[in-house]
Amino acid sequence: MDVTTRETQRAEFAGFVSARSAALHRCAYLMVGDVGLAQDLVQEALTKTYVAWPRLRDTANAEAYTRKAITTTAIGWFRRRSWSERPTDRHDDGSRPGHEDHVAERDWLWAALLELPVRQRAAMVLRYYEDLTEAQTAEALGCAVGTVKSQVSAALSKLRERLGDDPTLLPLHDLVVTR
Amino acid sequence: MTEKLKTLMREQADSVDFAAPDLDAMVVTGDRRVRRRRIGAAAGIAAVAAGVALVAPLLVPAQQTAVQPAAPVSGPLPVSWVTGTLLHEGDRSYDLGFRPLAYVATPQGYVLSDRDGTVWSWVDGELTEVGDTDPRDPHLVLDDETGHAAWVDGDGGAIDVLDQQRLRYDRHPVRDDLAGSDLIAVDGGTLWWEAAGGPRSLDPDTGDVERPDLAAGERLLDVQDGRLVMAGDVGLAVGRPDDRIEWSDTYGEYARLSRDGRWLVLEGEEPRVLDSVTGDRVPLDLDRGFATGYAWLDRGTVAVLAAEDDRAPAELWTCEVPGGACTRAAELDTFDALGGSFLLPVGEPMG
Repeated sequence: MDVTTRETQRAEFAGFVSARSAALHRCAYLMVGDVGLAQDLVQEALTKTYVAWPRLRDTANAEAYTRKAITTTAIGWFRRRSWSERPTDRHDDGSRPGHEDHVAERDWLWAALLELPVRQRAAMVLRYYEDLTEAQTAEALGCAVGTVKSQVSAALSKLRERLGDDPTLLPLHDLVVTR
Repeated sequence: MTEKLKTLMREQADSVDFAAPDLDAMVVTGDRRVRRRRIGAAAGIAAVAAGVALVAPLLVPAQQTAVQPAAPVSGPLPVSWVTGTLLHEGDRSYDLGFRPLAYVATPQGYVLSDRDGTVWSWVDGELTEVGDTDPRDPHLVLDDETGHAAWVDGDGGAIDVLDQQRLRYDRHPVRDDLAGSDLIAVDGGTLWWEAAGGPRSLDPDTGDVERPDLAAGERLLDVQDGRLVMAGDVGLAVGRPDDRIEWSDTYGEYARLSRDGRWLVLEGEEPRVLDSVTGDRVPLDLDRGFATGYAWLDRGTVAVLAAEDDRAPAELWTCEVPGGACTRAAELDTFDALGGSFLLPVGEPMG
């Protein structure tokens, strides 16, 4: 690769980082529940993307690649460091908030999400925050579509145990796993 | 129904601020990883020298008759690597007397090319000069079905296919319209090229050249048991032009199919093995910061290069597919500490 090509690719990569890092940070934060850890995660995932950049043809591919790197790296970090029970930024008082208390409800859901195993949490974030299809989620998680369905179903069951049967909050149809 | 869940997650994510990523650090670290991938490195293996190679260069006479198929590859290939002039195989090392540029492992031993372009056969510690290739771009390929190794000869005019068991080779002239093309794979005796107009296959017995009907822009990465690995702008595909499985958003420039064409291993930052029948990813029980599969040792064993992090010792692992169990076969030195003479049996230079 000549110098001009390399410089062009670096400029393209810098543009991608500038345009998408905020969104990637938010996704990473939802997966790990900690601002500093999310920043480390995005830094690492974008470094992997930089390495892969010469074979990525457009920013859509780059974003999917980075999202996958965030997901698999987060799972790897949690597995190695046993951080699944790490303290969260906000604490649950164990009581169910009233529906009118939107902020408290958000905190309560947040605490419940952070109690999920990291793979289940990642599947939930990819499906319901990033709005990925089951196939796209499977690609990001590096697993089969059936595994995504079972992970999401298990996550929803756990959330339902914590949050109760609020059909306006949790999707009922994804509780049933069909392969 | 899920809007509330989405809204709550969105609000939670929007409620915090993040510092901008450190672009300079990404570039520095990323460039080092690129160098590491290209260079690799290995040294410092304590147990060495179970035997020193008997270097006995011999010219193999060209054969006029077609090479007969050798016994199919059956037993597992050993974990091997090269540092400098040393060929390492498990806990044994052999001094080759030259620094290879590229090599492949075969059922009988190894086929290596050196900096002069000479191609060598290594069997049980005995070296034999078997041909020549372009030292600027050596590329050795192994036909897993026959156990034969192949390469383009030094002037680019022929492909030599070596039956290492019999130390005989067959020479196939390169047609003018394929001159300068890259030899990608040999599968059951059929030679596969990446030519200017796309992939081509050559039946050496009949001289027939065929062009598989791939999508525009697709490149051929490997062929095994009649199944092609194709890389395009939207991802990877395995199979035949009319019967293929695709992985969108999955990329790789180095990919190897297992001997039966079932499993696909891709280079990357983490081990990526895909089931080319179901499309599923096969999880491997290997927890390292960096890990990439690079070769199949038998029908269901993949060799993996790994390291805990950038400064940790490099390691070679073997992983069972689809079971996922992994065993460390060797611990090497760190990537930074080792030089540019490290090679794995991928048929190409790593530096």
